Amino acid sequence: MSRPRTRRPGSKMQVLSFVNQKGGCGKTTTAVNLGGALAARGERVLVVDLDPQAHATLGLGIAPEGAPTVAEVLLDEAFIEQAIVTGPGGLDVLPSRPRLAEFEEASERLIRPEQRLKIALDAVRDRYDWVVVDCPPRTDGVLTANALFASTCAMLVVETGAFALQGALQALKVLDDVGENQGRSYDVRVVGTLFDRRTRFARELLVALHSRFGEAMFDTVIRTSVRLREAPAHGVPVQLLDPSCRATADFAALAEEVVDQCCEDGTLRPVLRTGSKGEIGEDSQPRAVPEPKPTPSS
Amino acid sequence: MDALALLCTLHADGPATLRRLRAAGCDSLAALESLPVGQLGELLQVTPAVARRLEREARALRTRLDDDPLEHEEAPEGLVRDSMSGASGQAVEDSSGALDRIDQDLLGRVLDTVREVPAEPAPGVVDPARTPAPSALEGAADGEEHRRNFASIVESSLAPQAGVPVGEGTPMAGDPAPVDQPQDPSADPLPMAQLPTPEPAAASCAGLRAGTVDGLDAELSVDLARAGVVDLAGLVAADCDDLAHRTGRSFAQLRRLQFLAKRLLPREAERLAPRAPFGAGISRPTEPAVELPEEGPAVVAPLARDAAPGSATEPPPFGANIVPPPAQEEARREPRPSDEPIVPTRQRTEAPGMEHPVQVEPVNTSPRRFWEPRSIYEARTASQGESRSDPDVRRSVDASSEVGASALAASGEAPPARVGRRSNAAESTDAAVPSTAPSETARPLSEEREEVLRWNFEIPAPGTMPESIVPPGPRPTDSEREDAAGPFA
Repeated sequence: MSRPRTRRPGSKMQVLSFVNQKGGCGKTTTAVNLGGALAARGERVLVVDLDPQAHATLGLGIAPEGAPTVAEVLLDEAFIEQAIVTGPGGLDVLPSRPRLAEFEEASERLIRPEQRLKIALDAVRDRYDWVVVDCPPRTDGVLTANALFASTCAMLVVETGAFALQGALQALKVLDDVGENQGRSYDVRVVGTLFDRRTRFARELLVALHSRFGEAMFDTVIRTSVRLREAPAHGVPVQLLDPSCRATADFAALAEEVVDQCCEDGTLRPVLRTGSKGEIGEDSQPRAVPEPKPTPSS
Repeated sequence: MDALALLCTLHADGPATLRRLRAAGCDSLAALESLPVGQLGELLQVTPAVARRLEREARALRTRLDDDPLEHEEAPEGLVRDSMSGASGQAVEDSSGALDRIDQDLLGRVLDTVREVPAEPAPGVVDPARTPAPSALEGAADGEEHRRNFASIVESSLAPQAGVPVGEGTPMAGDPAPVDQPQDPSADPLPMAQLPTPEPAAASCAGLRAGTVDGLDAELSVDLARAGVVDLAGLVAADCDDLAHRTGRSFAQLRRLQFLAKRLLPREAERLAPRAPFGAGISRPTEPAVELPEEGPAVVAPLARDAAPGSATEPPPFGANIVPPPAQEEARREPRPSDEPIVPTRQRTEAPGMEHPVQVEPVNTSPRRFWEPRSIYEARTASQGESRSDPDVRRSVDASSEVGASALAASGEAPPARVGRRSNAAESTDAAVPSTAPSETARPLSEEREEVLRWNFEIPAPGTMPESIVPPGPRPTDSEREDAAGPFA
């Protein structure tokens, strides 16, 4: 694997949480393959599977039989270093298993259960540049709250299909509620997935998403690909399955865009942040936005 | 999401195309549109048609994304009002009483224009210099009363601000005299240098107000008034450079306004010209003068239909001159002879050399007949010594097929029915089985149609049948026939 670009030394670990309360919109696929694309660029990536269905774990060919998982980490039964396993393509994986669903019940007895993941990730802060968190398809649960609390940017995965725009707006409201409950606001970025440009509906929807989210939406839209369906079956990211396929190019472009938009402190440039009144406003909480990088023409 | 990235995702290869475009320095849709098709095709390694389509989609997407989502209903009130006033040309009068200073200034000018109009022009003499300004008051030409009413309305609208000067732009050098001062040129004559130039008064009276010229809003009209330009003629005659310095407006804007005013000036003068009374310009044909005798009854020329005065002639019947439509005309034609067969003929659209199918001529003299009813009937009647005038009296019709066997057939007046048709079996077997007979293609067409069903539908009456045909024994009655038919009849 070549290393075209590495992050600056001393930059903070970025935690990207892929959220949407709608299932089947490509959260797991985007998380795994973006992690693979970042790893292909030479970044140190940890994939955290916070979904009790453990699809990201299975998609990377990991079967944690008897080994500690993220469920034990959140329940304080194991350290995170004990649970992290090395996956294909240079990815480190914090696997999951169905026992993770017990954390929902156990969280009622815990103090500040939504901060468990952040506390665990702080222990490996120096080991990784990027942490990619695959959230369950339930935005208002404690698992997603853990992911959001630990994340530096919430990646809203929007499928370019039916009810996409409505689902995205609804997810934004839920994110806003979660942020309000936690007393924080999150940077939100939108990733379009499952785009099929042969259909007029998808094209129109993409234009609508562009008009709605503007700069908060990544330029790269993940197109549909058979390779994306085949890769989990082989237990590898798509970059390993077919380095020349369309999906690999899409995720490489997305990874490049994510890295390019990092500021000097290593965080993503804030564009869209959750507000405090159920509305999404552009940078509702002002923060120090660095100057754009000087271009050769200027 | 960048618009160029959106275009590449929608209509190209997504990130690969985007990377190539950005590497070539094309960072926006506008830059993409400016690229030549050939260069874009080489850059993206696509055919010129694909490059042309991409540019077309870029134009469409840019137009779509640049559309102003603000509808007219959502626009600010002032913006809508300005645009509406500019479109309709009624800037001040239609505002609902909320007169600002600009409006008051304009109303003051209108009022001045109204009061400049003399009371009554001399009848028959049209003085263009005294024509009121219809652009300000369209009803001013209707009369002095209307003019006075309008003046009172305007004064009442200005009453709350009576103590306030009408506007900063009002006391200008080129403005007419103040409202309260009666304009009397003889009392205070102006020097000749300050007199207005002798130009068409209608145009000079056409004041500058918002909407008069495209791009002229109320604010600009006030600025022009401050600079001494109060009408179209003044705007046309003004020096744009000097006017730009005075008003602070751009030279190009004033130049455009001047151009539009110059174009509008003759139209305005034509509109302001006094109108002739209705029908004055129409040339009517001169009727010859009729000299009537002073005494005696007037001689009335007889009408054309009254050929002989005094004779009571019957008027023509109603509808005699009506030309019947073609359908009625066709109905009036004589009926077609019954013995003439109706053969549909095609319109002759082919070349004259083409040969049409020969019509089947009715054959009146058939050499062979299946039945000879007349001879049989005559022989029978001759032998019995009877003479019957109507042979159908003795005939019993017991089947529908016999209905057609009319008396005409029996009397020999009607020819036997002939049906011209071709044998399909012959056609189908001609090719397979060679026959010694001449083929149908070799036979003339008329001969093909000459096949006659040798049946004239003549069924003689039972009493007239020959002995050899009539079965011996009594004839079955109708009830017996029904029984013989069985239950399935």
